[in-house]
Amino acid sequence: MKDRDSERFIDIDNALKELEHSIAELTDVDTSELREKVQGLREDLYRGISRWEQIEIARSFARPGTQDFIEGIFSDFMEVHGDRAYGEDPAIIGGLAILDNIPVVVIGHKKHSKNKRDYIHHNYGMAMPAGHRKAIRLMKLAEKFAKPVITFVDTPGAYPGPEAESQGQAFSIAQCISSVASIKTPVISCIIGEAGSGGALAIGFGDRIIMLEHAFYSAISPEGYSSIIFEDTSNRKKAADVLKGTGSDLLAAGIVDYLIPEPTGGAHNSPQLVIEATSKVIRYCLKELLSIDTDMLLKKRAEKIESLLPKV
Amino acid sequence: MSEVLDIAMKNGRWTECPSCKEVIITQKLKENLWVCPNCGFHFRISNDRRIGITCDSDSFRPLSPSSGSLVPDKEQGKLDNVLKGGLASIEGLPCIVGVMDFSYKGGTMGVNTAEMIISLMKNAQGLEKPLVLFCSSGGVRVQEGIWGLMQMLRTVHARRFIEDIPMITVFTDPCLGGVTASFASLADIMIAEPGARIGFAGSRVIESTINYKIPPDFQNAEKLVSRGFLDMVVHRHNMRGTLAYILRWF
Ligand SMILES: [Zn+2]
Repeated sequence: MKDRDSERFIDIDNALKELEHSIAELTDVDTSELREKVQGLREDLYRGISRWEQIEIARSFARPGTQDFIEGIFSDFMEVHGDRAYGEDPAIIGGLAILDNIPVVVIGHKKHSKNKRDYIHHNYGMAMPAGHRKAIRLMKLAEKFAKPVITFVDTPGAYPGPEAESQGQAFSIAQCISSVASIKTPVISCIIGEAGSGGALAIGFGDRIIMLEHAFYSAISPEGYSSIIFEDTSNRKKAADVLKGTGSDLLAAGIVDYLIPEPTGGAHNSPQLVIEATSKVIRYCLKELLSIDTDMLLKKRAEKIESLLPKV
Repeated sequence: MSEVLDIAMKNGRWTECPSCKEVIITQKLKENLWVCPNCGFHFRISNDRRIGITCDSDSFRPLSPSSGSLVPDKEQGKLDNVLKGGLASIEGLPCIVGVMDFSYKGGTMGVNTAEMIISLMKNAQGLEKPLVLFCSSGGVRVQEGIWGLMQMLRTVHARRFIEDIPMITVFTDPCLGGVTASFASLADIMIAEPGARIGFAGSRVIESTINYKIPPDFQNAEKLVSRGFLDMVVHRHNMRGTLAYILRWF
């Protein structure tokens, strides 16, 4: 159990969960001591958690996804479809929603689904150019009617397949980033899981950036980094430490504005708690941003973008 | 290959074309602007060579990224050799020229590269001169972690601030990842050299995604023109003339 290298961290956590289930099924005995013991084991497991282990949590299939956050935070989400140019990409979902009586536009990567078929349908949140163009179209809609935009980032990266290339993946990402940088309405971005490279950045910036503790925002996956730089994919743990992409890393770097702490073991152990905390911060940020006039909003955003440099 | 030829290649008098394998006298290749006289293959060239064959002779004045103003500075190349930029003229038409060099760190965009790009954009705006960027890159410099990625946003944002300044991108082989997916593809006119590979994902990544080999010309410039993403493919021999026409038009 102490040998973290040979056993997957998530597997140990799952074993603990099974143990808890078995304990819960016990009747006629006082299980409080047992339950405390399991909780103690879990806390031991998570103490001094490595960045690589945080990535495992960020990628866990049990983790709450964009859909869960949308359902938990907004009332009356109405999904809309299509990029008005070529197609509809289910990897990025978006639509109209209401938050505290304020109409907003919501855009997010749909990485998590209930079953395998849906995962495939939404392509694990890996967007095609049509997905990026849908995001652009929705941002334009928000701008036109002066509605704030809230994005949820959860993607291994933009889809790196031949169809995506023939439809202009790089061009669509550049235009999407450009929209986020220039849109004349508040943008709040929530980094909830894996946030990989240009595909994440496409909707991964805003006037306020909120990030979950174990989410991982990075230019490249640790596996990719390891294979390019160390010429061997087995150094992903070392790569994760070089990439420094966890919530705490990015908060320290000044890129992220608010960090949402996760319960022991990760967001999936108490999704309601995490979604509730995120909701509170979004509401707070929204109020703040709506009180700023557009010129000031854009000026502050420009300053925020220009200062995206390592602090010496 | 014979031993004599081998020695001649080693000391640089002869060069083998990577495309048609023809062995060419290096001097001939140079006179032909590093285009294979046999098959038309465009060799990858350093930014100094690119500046030499594109700009009017002795017109190039390097810009320093830190000062944000025109400072001729011989040392600036040391800061980040990926990008060399300055004020120059093409057929007598003044413009700001930036050239990325794939042979240095795979042309990757790090923080200093982005600083240089942004500085060129600001100079283009300050001097009201068009901006010509030759882009060749493996993408974001991943060694710089999240900061590398964020330079995509910084350069895109900087481009928005010079929107009324004409910007021309010339894609040269190869241009992939975070450079194509940021400032490079937000130009007013987009040109590529023949056969240049341009896209988001590299072919190795694409092939591992789909588990089969993609055709070698899948991401080349000609394909991108036919799909509507680039304006034209221009032979290196005609590049100066084409750029001059566009600069004059603006
Ligand atoms: Zn040849």
